[in-house]
Amino acid sequence: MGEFQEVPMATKTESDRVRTGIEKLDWLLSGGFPKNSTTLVSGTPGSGKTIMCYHYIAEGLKNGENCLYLTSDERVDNILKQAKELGFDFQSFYDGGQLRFVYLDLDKSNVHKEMEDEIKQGGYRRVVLDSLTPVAEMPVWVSDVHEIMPSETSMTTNKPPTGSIPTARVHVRHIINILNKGDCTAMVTSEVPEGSRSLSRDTVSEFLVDGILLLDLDTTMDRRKLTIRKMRATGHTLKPQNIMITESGIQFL
Amino acid sequence: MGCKIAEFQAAVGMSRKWDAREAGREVARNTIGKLDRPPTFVLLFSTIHYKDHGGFQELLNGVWDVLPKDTPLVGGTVAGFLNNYGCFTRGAAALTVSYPNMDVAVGIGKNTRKNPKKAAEKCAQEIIKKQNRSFVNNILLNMLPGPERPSFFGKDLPIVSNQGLIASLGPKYLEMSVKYLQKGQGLEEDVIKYLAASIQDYIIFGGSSADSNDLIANYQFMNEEVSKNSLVALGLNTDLKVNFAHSDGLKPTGIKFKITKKAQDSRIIKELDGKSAADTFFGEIGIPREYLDDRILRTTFFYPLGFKTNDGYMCPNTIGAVLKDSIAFNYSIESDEIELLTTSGRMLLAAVDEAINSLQIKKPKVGLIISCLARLETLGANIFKVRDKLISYFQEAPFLLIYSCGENIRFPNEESHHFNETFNILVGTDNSYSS
Amino acid sequence: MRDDPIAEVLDDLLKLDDVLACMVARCNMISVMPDNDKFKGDVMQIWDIIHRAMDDVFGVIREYSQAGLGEIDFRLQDCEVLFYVFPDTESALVAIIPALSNKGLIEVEMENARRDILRIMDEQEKKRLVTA
Repeated sequence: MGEFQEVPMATKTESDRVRTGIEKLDWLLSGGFPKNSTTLVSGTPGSGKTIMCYHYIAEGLKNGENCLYLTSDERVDNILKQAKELGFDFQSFYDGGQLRFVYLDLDKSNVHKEMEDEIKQGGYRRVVLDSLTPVAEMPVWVSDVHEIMPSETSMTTNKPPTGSIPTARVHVRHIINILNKGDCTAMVTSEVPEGSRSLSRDTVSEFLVDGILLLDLDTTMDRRKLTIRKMRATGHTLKPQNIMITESGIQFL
Repeated sequence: MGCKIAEFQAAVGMSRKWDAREAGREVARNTIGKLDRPPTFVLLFSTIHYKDHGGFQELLNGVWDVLPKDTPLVGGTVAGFLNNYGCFTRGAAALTVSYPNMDVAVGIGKNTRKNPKKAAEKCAQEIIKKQNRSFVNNILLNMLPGPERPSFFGKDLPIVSNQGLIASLGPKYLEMSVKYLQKGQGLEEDVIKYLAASIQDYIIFGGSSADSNDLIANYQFMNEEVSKNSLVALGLNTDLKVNFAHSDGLKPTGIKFKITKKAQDSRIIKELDGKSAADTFFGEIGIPREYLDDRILRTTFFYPLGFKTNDGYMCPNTIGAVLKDSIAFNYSIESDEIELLTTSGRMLLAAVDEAINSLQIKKPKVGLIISCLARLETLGANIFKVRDKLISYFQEAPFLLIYSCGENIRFPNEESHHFNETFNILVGTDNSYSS
Repeated sequence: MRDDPIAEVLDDLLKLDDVLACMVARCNMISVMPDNDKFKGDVMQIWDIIHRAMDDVFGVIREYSQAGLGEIDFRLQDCEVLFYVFPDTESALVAIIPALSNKGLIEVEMENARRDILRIMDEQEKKRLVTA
């Protein structure tokens, strides 16, 4: 199956879908993300992942929804400033408590618990994790590996190496499971190295999420593309769509 | 690009539009628009694409929407062209001159394959009849029909056929199709020979019309008419100083063959040194025959067979088709002794320098270059380097190089020649030039 | 895309009989491409293979573009794939042509298309600098 296949759009009810905040993208997704799903937005640096998050959050805020923005990279005031420069003014929502920012300090060992507690208790309809990559790359030890492994009667007492795929997979699954706690629909961003064919740096998360949006950037041609690589329970085109970033965020061409 | 000094004016123009009518209008507008006066004549060339985008009659109609009535015009289809504006294998281009000291006449001779002598003589007569000869120099620019593959039971005769009915009957069929179907080789060397005999004191300079090297169809233009199988010519009688140079970039290898069996017209060779011509030739250059396909020209171009003419020219001739044991050429081999020549991309480019450096006119006012389309096919995008060399020579002066399917030259009162794979440049300047 | 001069250059190139498909691309991304409805012949049947092969070639282009790499081409089944690299970039103008086509003539138009696209990019860059 190539990338030129056009798939008829399924008819979905409003309540099954969570709008993305970008009208054309909602149309391509038959109304938006499936409710309670987790969608990965991946792309190289500068491709517009964070801007997608802003659109998503802005849409939720407009609908009166409580939104959570988990950030592992930026201080909150920087985010507010950057968003405002792109036409997303979150200050009043932040002050009013409808939008909550949580900075994930990766030096702390309880970062996963912090995320989980916040999501469970906050009553959020929308959660953004920007970005998954540094969280997934935290060194962890996993005590319950479910892939093929040495048995309990194995002579080795070594812990599984932190870089091993089974460990990474379990860790990423754990993070995504956290995002699925509560009645929320999540968007996570992931960095992709330049020239890589993977859809995430951890090379695992794309298999564990419900949907993948891929953002591509060609600096030479000054072209940007958005591709819906997968979306559970949604008929969609695989064809890359031309987009641009304007003063008011992402626009389809 | 236009050159306006005193009375002499020349210009080139072009169009890249797809629609034939619009392209005709644009090329005419872009060309004569650079002149202060009506043109004395126009040379018009286009690639084959307009056949499927309105047709060549529409192209000419577009030109005549703009051109002043009764402007002498000749030209035809070519594989590509380059000029002051760039290099192109799609589009239309024209060159025009406006000069009071020039008398122009055009002529046409039809059915060149059926009767080359009659066609050539008729064309020559028309020009001689209409031309006043009050100036010192006489030049005959011409366009001949190039080779066209005949159909064989509804399909184009393949360029390479090693076995089967086509391979066996192909050589004979090719001979007959020229005479009866007016398809096949263009018989250009015969036409030029008769033309040269009919119009003795003219410099003859021309080429064979072409398509995109598919050898399917090509066309000639004269005034408002589109023709096939016609010799079109434009006679110039003028006091312009002209200079001409010829080069090829080919090198003899020392490997010689004797033709021991050939077709009557000497365009198809059946045996070399008593053995299968195809096996002998391809065996010598080390290419297994099973590797040959329609891209044969990419190989045989680098290994033309040449024969020496009486006046010392080495005439290269490229194999155009292989039919079982026979090798077919676009024009006749006039000697039974032939030599394998060779070339390279570097030598092809060096040939351009050789031709330019041999010209006595160092500051031309206009230039027309006719070169073999096989050089275009071989050099590919490297023809931009050819253009760079020409730009260095011509500077701001307008020039046009066309890639044709064969080239012909004749100095006054000398033998005529028809070549493949050559580079021929004709430059002119007015009497304000002093060397 | 409306009013896209680069897309117009590609549309022009695609009108040539022997150009089965063309695009501007880089590794893992096709930046500009005419409607694939206009692609000819059987190229769509082998598109997946060609696409993967292209990505591998772009790996070479990425390495050597700044060293002056101009063009690369390869033959795959009955097609040839031509890459005309935009100097000092990781992008190239890519065309797919039949293996038996008159490649020399197509190369001239490929070169023209490359020059046109470079000129368009320059003009767009100048406009951006003026308005910045």
